[in-house]
Amino acid sequence: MMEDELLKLRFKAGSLDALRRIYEKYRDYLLTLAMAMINDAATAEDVVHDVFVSFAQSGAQFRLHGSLRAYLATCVVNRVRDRMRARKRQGQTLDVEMPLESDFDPPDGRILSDERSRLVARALARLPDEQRETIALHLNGQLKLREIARLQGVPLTTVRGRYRHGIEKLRSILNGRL
Amino acid sequence: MKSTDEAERWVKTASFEANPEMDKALWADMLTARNKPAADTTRRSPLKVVFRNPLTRVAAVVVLVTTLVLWQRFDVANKAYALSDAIAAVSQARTIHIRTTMYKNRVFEYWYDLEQGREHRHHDGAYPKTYNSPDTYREKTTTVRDGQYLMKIDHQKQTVRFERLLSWEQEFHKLQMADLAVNTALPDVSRYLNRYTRIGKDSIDGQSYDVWRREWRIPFKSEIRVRYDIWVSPDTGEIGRTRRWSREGPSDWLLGSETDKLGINQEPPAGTFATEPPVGYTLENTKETADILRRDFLLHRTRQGSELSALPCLALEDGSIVAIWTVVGGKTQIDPNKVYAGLTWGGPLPQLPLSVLGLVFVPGAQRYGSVTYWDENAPATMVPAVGRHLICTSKGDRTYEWALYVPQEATPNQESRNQNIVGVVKSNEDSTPTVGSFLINVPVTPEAFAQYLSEAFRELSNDPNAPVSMSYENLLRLARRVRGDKRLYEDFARQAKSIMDTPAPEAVETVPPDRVQ
Repeated sequence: MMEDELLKLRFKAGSLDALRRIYEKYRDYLLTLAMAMINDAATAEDVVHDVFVSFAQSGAQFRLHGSLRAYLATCVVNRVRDRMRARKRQGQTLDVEMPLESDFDPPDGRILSDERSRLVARALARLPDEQRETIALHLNGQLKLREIARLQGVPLTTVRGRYRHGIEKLRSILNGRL
Repeated sequence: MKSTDEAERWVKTASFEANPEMDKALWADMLTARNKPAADTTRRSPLKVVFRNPLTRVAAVVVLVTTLVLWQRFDVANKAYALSDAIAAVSQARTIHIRTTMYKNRVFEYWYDLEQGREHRHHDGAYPKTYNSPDTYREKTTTVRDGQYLMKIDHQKQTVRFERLLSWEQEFHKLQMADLAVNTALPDVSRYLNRYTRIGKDSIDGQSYDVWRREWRIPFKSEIRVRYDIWVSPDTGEIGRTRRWSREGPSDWLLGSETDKLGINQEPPAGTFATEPPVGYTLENTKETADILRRDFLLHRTRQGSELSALPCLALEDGSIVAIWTVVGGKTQIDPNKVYAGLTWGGPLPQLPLSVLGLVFVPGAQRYGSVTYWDENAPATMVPAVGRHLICTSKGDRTYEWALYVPQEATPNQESRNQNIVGVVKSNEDSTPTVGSFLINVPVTPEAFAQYLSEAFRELSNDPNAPVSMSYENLLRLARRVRGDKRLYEDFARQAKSIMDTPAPEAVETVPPDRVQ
């Protein structure tokens, strides 16, 4: 998009307004993507925080020829993967055991959402990592399957399969609520 | 199937937002981080380590080439072309042929030669003599751009007129031609790519196509909705057809225009880009007497007939604009010796019956008739740029004002991209400044600037040598000085208040792709 191209140039030239606009434009988009991938408000907040702080720090060294949105989404994916790996090393998993319809939600008022969004995040948490990541990137991150294939380093057919199976599984998890 | 769609929709519409507390904390951390240098900038890149040793370098290249070959083979085998691929194919073509029928009875045909920057446009159509009148008149014109001249043929009147192209404008036109061709073939599609959705399949002449659609409401005409359908071959990426529909209120959708299959890299018929007038037509002028002031350059015309024209402007690396403009016609006689006496480099602009008071950068803005508007893809931002006098030159009976327009914030130009800039025009006849057309602006490097400057002086000045003060560095220096003088911007804001305070009109409303039917 032309606006993003302009924002990239102005950010690189040191414009605070451009940084502010990028932040406002992509803050909730990245939060939603992170929540869809990790279903943990505190971690999602940390991930988005780290991505933006690191981005703000890059300043004049920032170089990007492609899409700003895809770049930021990729940063979120990489940081979420780091967190997931760390969790697995510590023997933790996502909150898959939590009932879908739950009154219990993490008491973190710093991220706002509606009940259905939280339900979706909980349902996504029950999918295998690859399927969840593919669905989140495609539907929340608005990346094309081809871009996701590039990001995940797998063939397009694999990504299509992950997406299709993930959606089928998600439908069965959400069965009766759709 | 339906519940699968519903599951997708639920995920797609899930939304998490930062509350003000998080928002404040995160922004504060970003500001702190922005003022700190990156922590690991001195870390040695793994690539540098690999490429330092000749053996690892060879091994890395072998691995890279093998990976690329395998990747390409694999990728081709799985290729399903989407709309974005089709746009990329159009912009990378050598030649493009477009034929569009506007309903009813209007045909537009275009040939673009992207390698040499040549263009051929032909139009044949019937138009009502007066609004809604059943009586029509015919327009049949051909315009050819051969790189040096524009030849305009009116087939009804059987007349031919030539216009001479400025070298820097032609150079820029060549750079922009791919964008121009894409926009002619697929208006607005690149801009709204994320708003298109694939609505089904269709077949044309036995070839299968995916049909992509966008639907939106025209701003300021709230009852008119528009649909734009594009047939893209998933096998080849070719565009087989486009159709534009509209409907007012609950009426049926009406087909407004249809473009045939785009011709990519076809060989144009012989003579397509030749600027030889047809035999028997009357020449209004010749190539030797052709003017450089084209209708495209007209910014404003007063009721008394004065015309303000701006030549294609040069955009410097900090976003400042060197504009050359002139006023012709009208009843007011201008005595250049009087008007330009006492003007200084970097000082106020000359007091002319018509002048470009300043510029306004409107990134992402579009025009609908005389109104500037933004849509959901662009923020409503306006950056003012104040004008300062540089020099004036005379050639023949024309005097050209050379002025530097400096945006309040350094706005780096975008390589080959033409920025959205409008001129704020002040006329003696009106107390309130008005907005002129978008200015053609050419981003230039210091080297290109020096070259264009000497060419411009040959064209626009009796003295072919540019003064030494007109150097790229001097202009950047002046821009920095102007940018530091807040009073200039306050003064401009006061004069152009009516323009800068214009509230942004309502945004274009696009139907989200998942709701397009």
